[in-house]
Amino acid sequence: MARNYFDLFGLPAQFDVDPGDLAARHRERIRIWHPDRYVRGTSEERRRAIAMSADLNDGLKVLRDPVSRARHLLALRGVSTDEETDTAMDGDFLMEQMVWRERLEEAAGRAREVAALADEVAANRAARQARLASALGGGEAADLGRARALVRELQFLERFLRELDDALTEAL
Amino acid sequence: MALLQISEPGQTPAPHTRRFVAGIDLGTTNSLIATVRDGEVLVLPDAAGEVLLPSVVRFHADGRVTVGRMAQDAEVTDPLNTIASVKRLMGRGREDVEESPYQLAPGTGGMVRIETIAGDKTPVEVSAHILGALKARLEETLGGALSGAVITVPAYFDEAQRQATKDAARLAGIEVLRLLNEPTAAAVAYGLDRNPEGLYCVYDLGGGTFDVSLLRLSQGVFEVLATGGDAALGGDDMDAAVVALWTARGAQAGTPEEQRRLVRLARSARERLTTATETEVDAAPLYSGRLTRADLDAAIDPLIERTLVACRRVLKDAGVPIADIGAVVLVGGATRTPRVRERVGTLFRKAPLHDIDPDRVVAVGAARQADLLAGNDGAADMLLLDVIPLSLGIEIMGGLSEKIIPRNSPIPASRAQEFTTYKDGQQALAIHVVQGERDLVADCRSLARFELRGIPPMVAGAARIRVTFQVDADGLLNVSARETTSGVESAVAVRPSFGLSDAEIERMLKESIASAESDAALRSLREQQVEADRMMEAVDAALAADPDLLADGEREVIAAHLAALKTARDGGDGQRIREAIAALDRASADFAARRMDAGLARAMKGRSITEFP
Repeated sequence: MARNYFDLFGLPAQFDVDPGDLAARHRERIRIWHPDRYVRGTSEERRRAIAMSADLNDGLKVLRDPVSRARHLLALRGVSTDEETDTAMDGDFLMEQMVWRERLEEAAGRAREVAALADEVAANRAARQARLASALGGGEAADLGRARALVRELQFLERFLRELDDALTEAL
Repeated sequence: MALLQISEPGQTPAPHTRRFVAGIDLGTTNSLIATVRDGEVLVLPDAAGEVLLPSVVRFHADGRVTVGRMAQDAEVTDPLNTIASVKRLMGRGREDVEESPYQLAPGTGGMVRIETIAGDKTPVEVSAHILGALKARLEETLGGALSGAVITVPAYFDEAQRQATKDAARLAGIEVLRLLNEPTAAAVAYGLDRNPEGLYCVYDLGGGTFDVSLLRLSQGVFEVLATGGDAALGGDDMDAAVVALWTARGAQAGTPEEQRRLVRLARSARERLTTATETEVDAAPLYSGRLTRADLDAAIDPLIERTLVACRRVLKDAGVPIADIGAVVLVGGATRTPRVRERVGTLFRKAPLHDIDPDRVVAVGAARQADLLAGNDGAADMLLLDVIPLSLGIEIMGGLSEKIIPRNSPIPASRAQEFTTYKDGQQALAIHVVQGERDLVADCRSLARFELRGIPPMVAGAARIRVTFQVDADGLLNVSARETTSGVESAVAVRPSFGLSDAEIERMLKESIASAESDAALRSLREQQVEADRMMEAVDAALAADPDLLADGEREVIAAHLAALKTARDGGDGQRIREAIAALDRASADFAARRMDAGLARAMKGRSITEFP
């Protein structure tokens, strides 16, 4: 069982996280646990300081990003997103992906068209993130199945957005 | 009134020696040592009043070793035994080095070795001589012992280079409190002195390395947001560019001695052009002529352009627009070059800061950090949060690198990954750790290979092997692996492929540097005694600070182990001390854990009520 990063930061296990507050909580804790505080400490203290600081840094990274935060929330509720093993995706989603990829191939090298496509995909991602927030809201009534599908789709979109970013850099 | 202490004959306690911590800038061209006294940073000069120790080491036929200016004078007359810019070879294998002014021993798979008249020397040994000279300088000047040091490294240094630096310190008998990135040290020097908030860009163009770092300072916390640079670009390349210009104008230099002579003249001409607009160069019969500021600017512009590209990339990585940079700090002697200041100023649209001597600023920051880590500094609220400069990955099927910890992740960092077997009955698993950004393992730096053995025979895919990568605050990697169904465990402190094995370090310690402590057994005993003292001090301090956190009878158990360690420490057996340290560590582990938890609870107190919805 993975550790609960919400607990680590003293936050309730919910999708809404204020990034500024999260950063402040991280700073507050890393200040105490950082190995610099234990340079003259015992070996046990130094071991713990490294492990704890590493967890805090990893926890910040996981909770800061909406998709990894959602994946973590799902894992805490016993739902695995199985990106590595389960490759079956919704048919409509795959179709949309194919259309986008064809457009990227056609636009290759033309910065303005690549940028327009990137904007469109980014808007689509924002819409999906909003749906993810509502799927994970509502406490016990949260729609975990819906959230799981959205996390898996967002994972695809982020990879595609990175490719678009590379293509844009190349075109410029 | 204190009672007079009378020692038994032959057991006179060692005179109370003062102990100092220091910051060391182990540079490509020059090295420095600085310490904090009465709140002020003191950059220590040698007997001749020079603070810069040229990072040059000369090996003599009779086994003598000279370091610094004396060695530098022999660069022209004895070029093959006089090693300069050795930092560029740290943590490198023979095949990494394309050209070198030295005779390199044929590749044997490990770290590169330089053939000298006194035998083959690794860059670690050469660096240890430089560190040893700085240590001696401090101990002679201040009349006390150097008990620990913060040593700076380029932010771009990979694992092997960091490990090599730490090994050099160990060889020189210096306890490393922390390896600190050079640009971070520079920010500490400026930050503490001026108390700023905001984003800093540190532009560090030294003799042989270029680093650019983006740091955020807020609420007493320094955070490295991104780093970039080029581990093989610096003032040396500017000298080479000037020599190339002269060669194009007809300069003739055939022998290594003649080459070196031109390089030295190029450097001094370049330095003169910091204030002058033109200068005469007389290297007859090799070359003579006039060098103008415009000539120099044209020759070095391509090099400066490379540094600016790296700056833009770091800003892009961190998603920070140029306009958000509050200040640019210049570090490294090469930033005295007017063209560098001008072009950096143009890129960032503001004049860069250079009020602290760019040669000293890193040592100044390192000294402050050492003082802080030793607990002397009142500014205990400040904290440095550094990042890992290059991604760590492991080799997966198809010769690809799977990134485990991506570059610019804050350290300490850890990440666990699960693997499984691919053959029935497979009992071992080989793990190859690499560092670098490229997808193909062949394009990355190989850090280490190790095997997890003793996996119970199972069908393919049934084993669950959890490999945990942990990067400590010095940026050094530890890997542990555990087969979760059987509990078989293996932990490896990663010794980089281009690093030295523990056995090699032991051997070097044995044949070590001319010093009173050259005897390896004595050195090892000293290391254990220092560790014992540190441990006893820490436990004493903990007992005094949090007596209420002790469980019933715990104080007695810890006190007994403390007394045992004290006895062992004063005996002469290193192995016994090591065991006593481990025993005290185990006995006080629970207490240490409770103290750390209590520290956190104290800090969170008063927040919880108002902030938890």
